[in-house]
This record gives sequence, C-alpha cells and structure tokens, in this order.
Amino acid sequence: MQAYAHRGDECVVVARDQLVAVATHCRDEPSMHFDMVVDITAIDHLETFDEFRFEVVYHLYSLPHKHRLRIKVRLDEDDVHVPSVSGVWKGALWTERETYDMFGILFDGHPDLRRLLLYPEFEGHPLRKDYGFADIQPLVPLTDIGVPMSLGTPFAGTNRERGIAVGEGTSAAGKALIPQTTAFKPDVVYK
Amino acid sequence: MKQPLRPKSERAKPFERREMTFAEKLFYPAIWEGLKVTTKHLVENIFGRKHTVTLEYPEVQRPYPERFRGQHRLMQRDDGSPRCVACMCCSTACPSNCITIVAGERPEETIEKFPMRFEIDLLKCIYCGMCVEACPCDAIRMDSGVHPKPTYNRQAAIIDKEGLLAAGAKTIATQGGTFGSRVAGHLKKHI
Amino acid sequence: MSTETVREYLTEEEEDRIGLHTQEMILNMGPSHPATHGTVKFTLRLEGETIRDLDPDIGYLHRGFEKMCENATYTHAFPYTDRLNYCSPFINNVGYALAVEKLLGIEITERCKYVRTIISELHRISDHLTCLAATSLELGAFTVFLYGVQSREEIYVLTEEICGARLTVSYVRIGGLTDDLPESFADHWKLVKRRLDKNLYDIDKLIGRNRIFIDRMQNTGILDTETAISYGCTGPFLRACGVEYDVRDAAPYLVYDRLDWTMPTGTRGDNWDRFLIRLAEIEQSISMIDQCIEQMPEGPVRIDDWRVVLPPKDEVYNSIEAMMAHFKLIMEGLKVPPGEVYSYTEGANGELGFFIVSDGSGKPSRVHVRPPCYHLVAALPEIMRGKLIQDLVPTFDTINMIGGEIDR
Ligand code: SF4
Ligand code: SF4
Repeated sequence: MQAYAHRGDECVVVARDQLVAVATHCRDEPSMHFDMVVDITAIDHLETFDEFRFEVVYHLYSLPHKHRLRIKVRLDEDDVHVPSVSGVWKGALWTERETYDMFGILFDGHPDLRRLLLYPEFEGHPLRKDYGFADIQPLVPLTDIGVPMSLGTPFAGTNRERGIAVGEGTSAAGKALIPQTTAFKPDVVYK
Repeated sequence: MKQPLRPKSERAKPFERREMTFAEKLFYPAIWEGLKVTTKHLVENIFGRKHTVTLEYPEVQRPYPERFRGQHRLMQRDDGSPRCVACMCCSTACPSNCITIVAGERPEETIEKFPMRFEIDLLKCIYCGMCVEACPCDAIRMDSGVHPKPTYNRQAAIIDKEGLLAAGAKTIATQGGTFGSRVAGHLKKHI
Repeated sequence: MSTETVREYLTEEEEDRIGLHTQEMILNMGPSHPATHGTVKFTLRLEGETIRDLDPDIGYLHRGFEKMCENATYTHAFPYTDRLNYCSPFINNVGYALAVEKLLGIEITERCKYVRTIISELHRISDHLTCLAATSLELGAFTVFLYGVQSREEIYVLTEEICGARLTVSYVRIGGLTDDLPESFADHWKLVKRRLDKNLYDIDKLIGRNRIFIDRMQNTGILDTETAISYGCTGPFLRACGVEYDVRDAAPYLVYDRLDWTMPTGTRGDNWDRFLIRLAEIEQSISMIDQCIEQMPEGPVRIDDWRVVLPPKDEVYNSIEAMMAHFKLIMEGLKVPPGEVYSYTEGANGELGFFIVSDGSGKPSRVHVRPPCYHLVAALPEIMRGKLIQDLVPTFDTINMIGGEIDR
C-alpha cells in the first residue's frame, strides 16, 4: 500500500486482492464513511510503464464528512482482472461496465459485464493507447431476424432501388447495423 | 434504528408541499387559471406587439450581436493584398484542421511570406473562433455577420483566398483593441 | 394462451402476487421514441403495464470525447466540452477549465471568477428550463413547453451576445476567458430576467396546482435515499431525496461562498420534488447572477502569465516578447506539469467531474469526464422495477438525461 497526494487529491494504491476489503472498510468505518463511489475509470500507461500498464482508479466521496479519496489498483498487461466493487457500491455497476468497454479490464464478480457505450460487435477497446486514433471497425454483418426482407417489409422496394438492403438491427444491444453487402458510396464525388 | 449519517448544510431549505384542497381536487380551478393565462397571452399578442416574441422572419430579422461568429474573411493591406503572413498559427490552432495554407515568398524585404493558397473548408469548420484568437496579424476574422451559405456540393463549401479576401476589408494601420469583437466594433467605423 | 406458456415466463411467486395470468412482453422503447429524447433505448420486460425489468441502452451519441481529447491540446478540448451537456455548455467549459487550472496550480483573477459564476448560473437556468419544458411537454402541457423554451431562447440570445454562438460557446479558456462580458450584459440580463420571471409565474399558474399534472408527478419515480447515495446520484435528484448536498455548498469553488443563496431540498424524492427543486433553483440562480453583477470588481479576466494564456492582442501586435509568447503557446500547446487531478463542479444535473492525467506534454494523456446524469440513468432500472410503464416518462424527464453528456 502506498499513499500520496497531488494538488490536494489524496490517493492510495492498493493491492488487487485487498481491494474489496479496503473498499468495504472505507465504506463502513465511521470516521471514513465513504458512502458514494463517484467514478471509476482506468488509465493506460502504455508509453511509460515498466511494472504495471493499467491503473484502475476509484474516486470515493463521503457525504457527511465531505472528504474525497482516490484508490488505485495497478494491473499487469496480461492479467487484467480486478475484483468488482459493485457489491459495495451500486454506483460501480455502470462505471465498471464502461471501464470494461473502454479498456477491456475484467471485473470479476460483476453481475452483468457487457459493453455499455459501444456495440457488442466492436473489436478492441478504444481507450487503450494501442488502439489507433483513426482505426476503423469492420462492418458488422446483418443479423438474421427471421423475417425475409421481401415485399412484406416496409420500405423494401425503395431500398432495393438504391441498392442498399436495410435490415432492422436486432442484435442484443440493438445498435443500427451497417449492411455488409453494399459499399457506402457518397453522393458527391470530389472532382 | 440508528439514524444514518447525512450531510448538513446551513443553506438547505426543505420546502413544504401543500396538499390539495378540495376545490383543487375538482380540476376546475386549475383549468380556469390555465385558461386565464393563455387568454391573457392571446389578448396581449393581438392588441399590442410589445410582448410578442416571434419575428416575421424574412421581413424582420434579428440583428446579430457584435461578437457573432460567422463566416471568415481575410483582411487586406492598403494595397489590397492579404494581411496574412502565412505564419500557420491559425491552422495550428484550428481544432478541426480545416484551414489549408500554402506559403509563398514575397519579393519585398520586410514581409517575407504570403499565402499562395488559403482555403477554409466550411463543412469541417465548427465556428469556434480559435483561428481569430490565434492570428497575430489581425488577418483573419469572423465578424462578417453572415452565415455560411448552403451549397450544392462539397467542393463549393471550401472557400479560397479570393473569396475570403472579397469579404474582407482594409484594417487600420495601428491594430488596436483587445480581442476579436472589440476590434471589430472599433473598426466598423473605418469600413 | 395456455397456462403452460405463462409458467415459462413468470415465477410462481410473481404469479401468486398478481393473481392475473399475463404473458411477459419485451418492448423496445426508443432510440427515437418521443419520450426518450437524447437518444437512449430502453428494453423493457413488461408484464401487463408493470415494468419487470428495464435495460437502458446508451451510447447512440458516443463520439469518443475522451479519445479525442487525448489527441488534442488542452485548449482544443474546449469545443468538445461544449458538446457534452448541450443544454449548459458554459458549465462544462468552466468545469474543464477549473480542472486544468487545478492541475497547473494557478489562481484566476477575481473578475474572471465572477464572470464564470454568472455564465454557469445562466446556463443552469437554461438547463433547468429545458428539463421543465420537456417534462411538461411529455405530460401534455404544451403551453408550458412553449413558455419554458421561449425563456431559454432568450438566454441563448444573451449567450450569443456574450460569446458569439448560441450553443457551441467555446468561451472559457484556461486561465481566463476569451473576452470580458459585453458592456450591454447587465441591461440585457435585466430584460431576460423580467421575461423569465413572467414566464415562471405563468408556468406556476398553469401547472403548479393542476391536479392532472401533479397526479402524474407525485409519488412516482421514488428512489430511497440510501440506494440513491449508493448509486452515486447527485444534484437535484439527491436533493429531492432530502440529502443536503450541493458541490457549490460542500466544496465552494469560484465565488459561491460569497453569495447568499439557499439550497432547496425535497422530502419524498419523487418526480414532483425534483420538478419543484428545479423551479426553486432557477430562482436561486437568478438571484445569484444579480448578486454577482453587483459585487463584480473591475479588472482583467485573464491571468497575467503568458505561458498559460495568450497575451492581449495589443501587445502581440506591438511587442516582440508578446509575439514570441503567442507563437510558443499556439505552436506547442499549453505545457502542463505531470500529475493527475479530479476536479468537480456542480453541473445542472449534479456533480460534473473531470479527471485529467498529464504526462507533461502538450496533450493530456487521459481526460475522463464524470457526467452527472450517467449515474442517474444507471439507477433507473432500480427506480422503475415494479412500477407502471407510464411512470417511466416523467421519471426519465426529471432525471434529465442529456445524450451528449452520457454518451460522450
Ligand atoms: S472557426 Fe475554429 S474550426 Fe473554423 S477555421 Fe477557425 S479555428 Fe478552425
Ligand atoms: S494566423 Fe493570421 S497571419 Fe497567420 S496564417 Fe493564419 S491568417 Fe495568416
């Protein structure tokens, strides 16, 4: 365990297997009483790391005592498992999902670790430093929804004329799907 | 039961909720009040345009404030050449990378560079005004007071040096003022 | 429908409780449903009209704010923050600027503090008005919507006069502002205030004691205080639960500790409480702006450190030192010492936090924003479980989810 402060923000670094115990203690100890996890996120130290690559950051706040604390857990590149604190604070439910979505950090014991902001077919984790700024995702194939795209489907005719088959995306997260078959052609071509 | 710890504040002022009276429960007073308010507005708008908030648009137009960030223009020197010295400050400061400058050399000794090409892609531009802030020569401004015009194709939305200069004007030799809009207001007299 | 099919969907206990055999239905609400403004999709598991479970699906407006900030200089992030909470861009601007200033360890000028307070409160009014107007609209009070949006429109006109744009303001800079308030501000504000007062009075007359409206709002969307805290809810939502927490009061920034204002809190934590709190906060904000205009000292709005802010144009045009400082700042970007800060301000929906990590270069190594409504939407399944589907609409409205902010 290591503690430091920068610009008035206090921060402790805890070992991974201690995290839930520390979190529960922070919440239940009357002199600390951190009843709210304000935020959970992660930092990727790809350029500078030697011992650890990721830091998972927890910001805690105590409403009655009006003090704040930052808890950090350091993770190796190839072992990105952290115990989930969603049993301690419910606010961790979504923030951990988002951290998983953006960094690929796996929260063990989280009841529902799915992608939150991105769609399930997304490849990679965009906030990792090795995900390029202009990386392009592959097109997602159309999901077979069991209903043939025939004349019975509304707008079927109009879409066929333009050569684009638009399928109702009904993937698990229901994001709009881009059809794989037709390449996107911009209307206006630069001369 | 133990009272949970809660933050206390002197500023807090819990408001009381008044239960509905019997008359209010009958709906009628509220309907009557509502009709009174809307009828008042109707009468006000028919007899006396003082309170009317709508504008009869094409005939009546809202004047834009002095600081309005509209389409860009390039200012001119006394001889009509652009004030711009192709220092690339604006294109560096532009968050959306929509300014393209190609510098050329001038024969005179005092001012070495001038822009051979100066193009702004108005479709990429987000009208943030950072280019105006970044220009050290008072060469680019956004105080033209016009919106970018809609175009039929994307190429037409890129305005070139001539287009920018045509909207520009001569600035006074001593470039005064503190910031964009002040300068603009100060200069309106001279244009 | 045979009883066997029902057995598949309902637990015995649920069946007993209801005593009515219905088949469960999955309903997709949104993302372009009129009530889910801000583009969110709810996957509802319904049993009759009762919500058994709810899965909010966000991310339709995801633009990669955090990734974009990592590839931009500290100043370039301002246009991005405008687009976070598009109902109150000034508050985001101020929040971000305060975070970077905390990292830099600089103190802004007195006048700048006042101006920042004024613009934050101005946009708090506009955000609350949007929320009130949208809530009323979706519950059928169209006139209230028009009055609310009319006042918001006037605030936008005032915003345009301050910074030159209605929505995409980009007004605040690290270490100050792009420019001082315009001279006409105080007069214009008086006009806006007069109209706003009138409209608030009318709004109150229209729905303040209207049973049709109150019946939809009262005792719906309740979340108990303990759970709300555990979920990290802040802002009007938490104050409606009776928790006296406001960042402006608990950790005063800018000049909030010098102003005289009260913090309205509710008692039941239902939709009507949140609605009334927003109305009361608008009044508080109006009085805060008035006090700020009165107390505001003269002076510069930018600090006098050319390594952080651009030098004034006068100097740039006429002196070589300023010109060099100007070039250096534009070309290299602001250099921020390595470190990390979490800075928090009171946004219109709660605590708006910025977590910034710097590695000493001209670009932030990590910018994370804690959107206030994120945690409220996370708590939505808990609020709505077992409630009726029609209560989802007012609850979602008073939560005031802003798509640009939650999706980033
Ligand atoms: S207004 Fe902003 S986006 Fe447009 S050219 Fe200037 S700096 Fe670039
Ligand atoms: S900053 Fe001004 S002088 Fe420099 S290139 Fe841009 S317009 Fe020209």
